[in-house]
Amino acid sequence: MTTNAEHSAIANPPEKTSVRTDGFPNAVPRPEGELEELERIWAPPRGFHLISAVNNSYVGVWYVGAAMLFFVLAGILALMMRTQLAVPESGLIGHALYNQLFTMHGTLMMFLFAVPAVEAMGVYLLPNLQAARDLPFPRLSAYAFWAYFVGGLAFFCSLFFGLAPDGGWFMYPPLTSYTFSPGINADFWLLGIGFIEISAIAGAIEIIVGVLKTRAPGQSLDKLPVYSWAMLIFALMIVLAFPAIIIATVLLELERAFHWPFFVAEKGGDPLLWQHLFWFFGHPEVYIIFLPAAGMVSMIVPAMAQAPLVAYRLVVLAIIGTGFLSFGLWVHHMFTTGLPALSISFFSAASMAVSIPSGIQVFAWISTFALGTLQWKTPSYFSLGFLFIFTMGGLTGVMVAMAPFDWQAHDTYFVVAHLHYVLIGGMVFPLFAAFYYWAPTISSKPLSERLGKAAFWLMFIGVNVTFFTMHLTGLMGMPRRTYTYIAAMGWGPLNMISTVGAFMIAAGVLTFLIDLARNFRPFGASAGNPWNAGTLEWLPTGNYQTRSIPIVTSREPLWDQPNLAADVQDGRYYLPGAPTRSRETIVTSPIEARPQYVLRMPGPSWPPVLAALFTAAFFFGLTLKIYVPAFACGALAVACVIWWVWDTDPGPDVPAVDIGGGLVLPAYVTGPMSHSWWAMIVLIMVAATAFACLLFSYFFLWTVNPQLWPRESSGLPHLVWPAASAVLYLLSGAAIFATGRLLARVPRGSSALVILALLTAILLIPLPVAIEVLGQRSIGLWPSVTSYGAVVYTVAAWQGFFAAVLVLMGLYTAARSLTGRLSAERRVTFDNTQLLWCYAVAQGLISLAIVHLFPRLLG
Amino acid sequence: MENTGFIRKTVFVLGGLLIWAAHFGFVYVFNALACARGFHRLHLFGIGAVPLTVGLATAIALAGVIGVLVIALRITGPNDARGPSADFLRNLTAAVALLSLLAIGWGGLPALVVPPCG
Repeated sequence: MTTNAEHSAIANPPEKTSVRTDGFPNAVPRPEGELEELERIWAPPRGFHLISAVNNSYVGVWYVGAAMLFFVLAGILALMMRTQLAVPESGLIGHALYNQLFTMHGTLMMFLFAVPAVEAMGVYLLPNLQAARDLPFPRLSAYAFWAYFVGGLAFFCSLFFGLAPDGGWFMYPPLTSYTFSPGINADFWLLGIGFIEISAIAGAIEIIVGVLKTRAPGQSLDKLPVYSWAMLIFALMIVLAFPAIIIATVLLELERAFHWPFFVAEKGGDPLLWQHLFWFFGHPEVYIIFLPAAGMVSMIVPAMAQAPLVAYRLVVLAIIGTGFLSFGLWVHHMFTTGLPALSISFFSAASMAVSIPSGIQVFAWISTFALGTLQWKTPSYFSLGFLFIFTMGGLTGVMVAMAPFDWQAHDTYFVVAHLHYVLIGGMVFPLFAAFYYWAPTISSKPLSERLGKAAFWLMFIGVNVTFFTMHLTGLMGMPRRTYTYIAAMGWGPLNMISTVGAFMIAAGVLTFLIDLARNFRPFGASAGNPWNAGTLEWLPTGNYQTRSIPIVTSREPLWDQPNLAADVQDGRYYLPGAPTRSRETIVTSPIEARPQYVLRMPGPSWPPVLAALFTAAFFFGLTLKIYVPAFACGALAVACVIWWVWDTDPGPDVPAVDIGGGLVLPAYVTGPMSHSWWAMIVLIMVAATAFACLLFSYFFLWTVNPQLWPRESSGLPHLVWPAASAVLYLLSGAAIFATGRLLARVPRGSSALVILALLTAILLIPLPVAIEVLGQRSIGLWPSVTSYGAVVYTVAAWQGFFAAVLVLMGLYTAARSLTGRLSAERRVTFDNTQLLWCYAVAQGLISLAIVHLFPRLLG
Repeated sequence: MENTGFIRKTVFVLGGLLIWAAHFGFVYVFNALACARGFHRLHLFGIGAVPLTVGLATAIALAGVIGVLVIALRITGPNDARGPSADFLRNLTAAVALLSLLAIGWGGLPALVVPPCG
């Protein structure tokens, strides 16, 4: 039981009232009708309207289900490929379809299964683990899910029309550029995964703010569950890695659609630029998948061993270290591209260094198993299987990190074996462990032990039969991505063994699906805590999560705080009801998890669903080159987003809330304490990383073809052009600052001065982009002639995109002012607009400096 | 306010790895430019421009990380006054720094034995 002293150490309330004397924040029995009201407010919508549900227990489960659907679909494609390769010179599948199969298999597994699956588990689990009622932006989670699900299904269906991409999951140009891939197959990949990138980034923002700001009071960073640490680093990695693939796909699509030559060597481009950008995303992607899975294992192992995780601090270090070091590995996919020897060595060294944090985690899990008393249940089986398979993959990873060995094994089945050991071991087995482990938190029946163990053995043996054999096939010289081979090569028996193994894996997955069909009954009462686990997700929950939000004093509160579950269920802890008569949760400080304010949250909502549908339609319209409907859908998506956010930023329209224990918290805050401010900062990090990748592209192309860069001022627009642009940027920024100062004087209602200042900023922000384009055209520079022109115009277009977004945000902010929804106190909307505005002005000034001053410095 | 202190504390805890990232980015870009522009052939004191620069960068980075480590280890005082996470963050900072020392040292080592552009 926690004491009043502990409570006061945790709470740092803005305002104190009298403290109850019973040792808990709230007295019992709770007022009559309080629980019923909580249940009514959090009740899910019925029938068709269930689609509009936004809270994590529904969206999280749907999200996981959709990811599993794509896993099964990608697995079926794998079985088709394995059937084709089972015997030499098979005529079952032609080369064209085979190319589409391996491209779609890789793309589905990486983009539509692995990342969404771990993100989905985060959406479901994090509020439970942190005793929050939900993540801070439930509608963003719903949007991320629906955009992914609808878009993913449409993307998959391209297979049935022969339109699926066929350039491999990493889509290297020049193979995928307009010369060698003239159809729209490659566009399906480039534009089709656009919505997945948006979905992943939306989810990452939600997770970062959720982990940092919506925790149980007292759950300071030293008590944060390892899974939360893993998801925090995972989401930050998405923020830093995904912009690289966004920029890469933008450049390749510009090249394909408009012939801007970023990757065409004869026009000053370089295909290696794609590889750099792709693998700057692609290698961290492996760890983006692995870290959440490792986080799950770090939760499962202590429960199954009934012992706290050994070396918690070192495991946290390992998660952070892996996150960082994984960004120094991308070139190890490019060892055979002729890069300088020393450059390769830097990456080789980093590839070896990253094995240290991975090793720390492996030893921590083994030690925990050794120190505890292992429960021989299905989650333990999958966890142990993960340890074996992932370690095998790690060992071959160290082998291919050695450049001389990699030169021999590159593009052979050895690499196929290695990556499947890493990904299946590092992600699929932990995910299945997680299904069996956490199913009782959402299902009224746990999954079957008998079927679970059968699924494990089929999958474990199947994986080793399939992929261990591939090491040998690769060492014998069989290349990847060939649809057949001749018998004289001697690869036939090994391929047949791999095919048998693949069908064993499929049988394991089928067994799991049968288990789901028989036993998984979600959204009702949960099956309890069958493993005697110690963390908060095992508290009794409803659709509102926990009845009251506990004070946490250890990493395993259910083990260390006796009677916690009953006290939480009785409503003794914080926020046992719904005092604002709406959905709400407690927002806490990021380090010590001190309660800061009560966040009011939305209920079921259609706009995110519709916005997601129109977003997916927009991207597919672009892919199919039906531009009018595409842009109409884009406009509708924007309209739905505006509809969605219109009722956010409610202002201080309800009084401060007594959550218990003498804590009276505001129900509305602005500035750096606000969860909204944090989300905008993370979004700016995404934008800044994308911009950095664009600048990298500029300097990379200069490095490989410096003769295309102007040597004298005559090859550049006169300095008057960038100077005029810079002045306009600064004036626009000044107008936004003036708006902020004026807004501070508006207690409520509308203000003509505020709107005037805002409209001035809106009018000014697109002008520098127009001037930049006119300046470049004045010297006869065109984007389709050389890589220099292409990258200069792309930098301008990127800034143009920001100008368009700011115009939209500015008009939205002005509309809120006009309708009396913007004032000195009610200003979160404006603060967000201002933050992005300041960033865009800074980005514009840096763009101008690089495009106009860098060549002059060279000259 | 803890929100503003959060960024400062985060940068400090991650200090070692941020220095690793800066070092890694610098030596990679410098070597790429040296090979592309041919200044890897320059020598100073009989040492090639690339090994010399990489060596200096590595020494500076190691010194920076050691600085972070020393500062972290010198943070003392009662935990209550600094918050429940203070000791955890201090130890994490030191551990991150130690891992970074290893990664930076290991990453700089090839410059001694591998030709820059071979």
